Amino acid sequence: MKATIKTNTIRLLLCLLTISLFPAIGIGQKSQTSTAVPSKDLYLKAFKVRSGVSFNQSGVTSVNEFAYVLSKGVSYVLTSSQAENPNVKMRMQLFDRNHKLLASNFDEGKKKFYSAIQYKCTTSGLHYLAFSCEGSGGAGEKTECKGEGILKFSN
Amino acid sequence: MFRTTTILFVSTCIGFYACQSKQSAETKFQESLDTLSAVTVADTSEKTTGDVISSLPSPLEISSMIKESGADFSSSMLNPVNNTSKYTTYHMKAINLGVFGADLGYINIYNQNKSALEYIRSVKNLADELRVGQFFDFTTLARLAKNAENIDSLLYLTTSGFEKMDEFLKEKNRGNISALILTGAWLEGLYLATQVAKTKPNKELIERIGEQKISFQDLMKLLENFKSDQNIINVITSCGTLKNEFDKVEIEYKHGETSSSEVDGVLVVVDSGSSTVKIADEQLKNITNLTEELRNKLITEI
Repeated sequence: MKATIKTNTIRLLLCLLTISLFPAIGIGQKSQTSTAVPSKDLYLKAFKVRSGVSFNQSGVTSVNEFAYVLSKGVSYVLTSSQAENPNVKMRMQLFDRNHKLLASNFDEGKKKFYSAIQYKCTTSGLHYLAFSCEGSGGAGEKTECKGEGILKFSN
Repeated sequence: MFRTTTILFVSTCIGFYACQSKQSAETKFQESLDTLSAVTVADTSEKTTGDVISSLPSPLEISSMIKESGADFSSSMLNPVNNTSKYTTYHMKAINLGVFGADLGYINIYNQNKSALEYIRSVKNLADELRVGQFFDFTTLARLAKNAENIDSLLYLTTSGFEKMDEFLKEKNRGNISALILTGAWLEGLYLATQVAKTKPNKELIERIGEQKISFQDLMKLLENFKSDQNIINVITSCGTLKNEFDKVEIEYKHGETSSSEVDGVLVVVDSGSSTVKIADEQLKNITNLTEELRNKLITEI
């Protein structure tokens, strides 16, 4: 079952911009276990993940999903930072505009997490980025899925 | 003696009038700010707004593409910082905070640290006047801007400031300010792209301009959430002709499959799908002209 919690967050600019108006690299994530990516990638946007506090029977928390327009010809790198709980790892999934899965940092077959997803976009348009946490505990175990999905880019 | 008294009297009158005018303008501005919460709370679909805002791309991508195209840095394209003090209403401050933010992104991409300092100051000033200046530590930013080696830290702190500002605006139900900032930033990004394409056209940049149709549609949806704000209605109306022109742009999609491989622990994904933008020369010309007209209106209309 895929429980999707759409973000209500008004992220401007900003974040917009915003917020994401400016490239930023390497600082500000000191308290978190951020994945290193090549320095040529420019910071684009951080997606705040505030997921459910209980694992389901598969040991995964509910999903935070964000929509974002990716541009053809741009190489994106998706990483995550997850604070406070070393036993929890963040799942990242990238979907196209039709919600077809393009990539996941978790290989179900190998039960393996990849540190980052690098995606060379060939189709401009809306994409969806989904984040959830996976822990070592059993169903119903309380946890905190709190962190950020970090999107960087390079041309 | 008479001459001195006259000068003093006239000076006092001018000073008094100036203070009165300034107080009047400030009072009017504060009153306009104080009405924002009611406007926003009344008609904001928080879910819709959140979805739209998080989907809009950063104009930084366009600036990066402009640089990659080989175009030289051009300060003449930017909104002059001496315009900052001319913005007296909250909506002009918000729109141009976005404009200056996009300009600052362009400046940063080109590592123009001297200009960066000036634009940081403008961003800080407008943010202060919108009561969100606490998220920009100007002293630290100014120190970092003096050394090109600090550019990464400078960029991150600026970004962080905008992110915190966004959070704050969200908490205070001032989403219409966020929407206006976003509008200014998006429009400035489009303006920079079209200006460069006008003088140094290349296929990728033109295609990126056409792709802005997607973002523009989202932006319009966002603004629609705040239609009880007359200033936003005015912005929507002003965007009407440009929207009509973007509606003529066609984007075709070809589905494909993805393949992936692991490189140094990173999952590298390749997608065989594609999109193609169809934009005629006439459409590009019209979009360029309309964008210039709208952008210049929003940076000068007081």
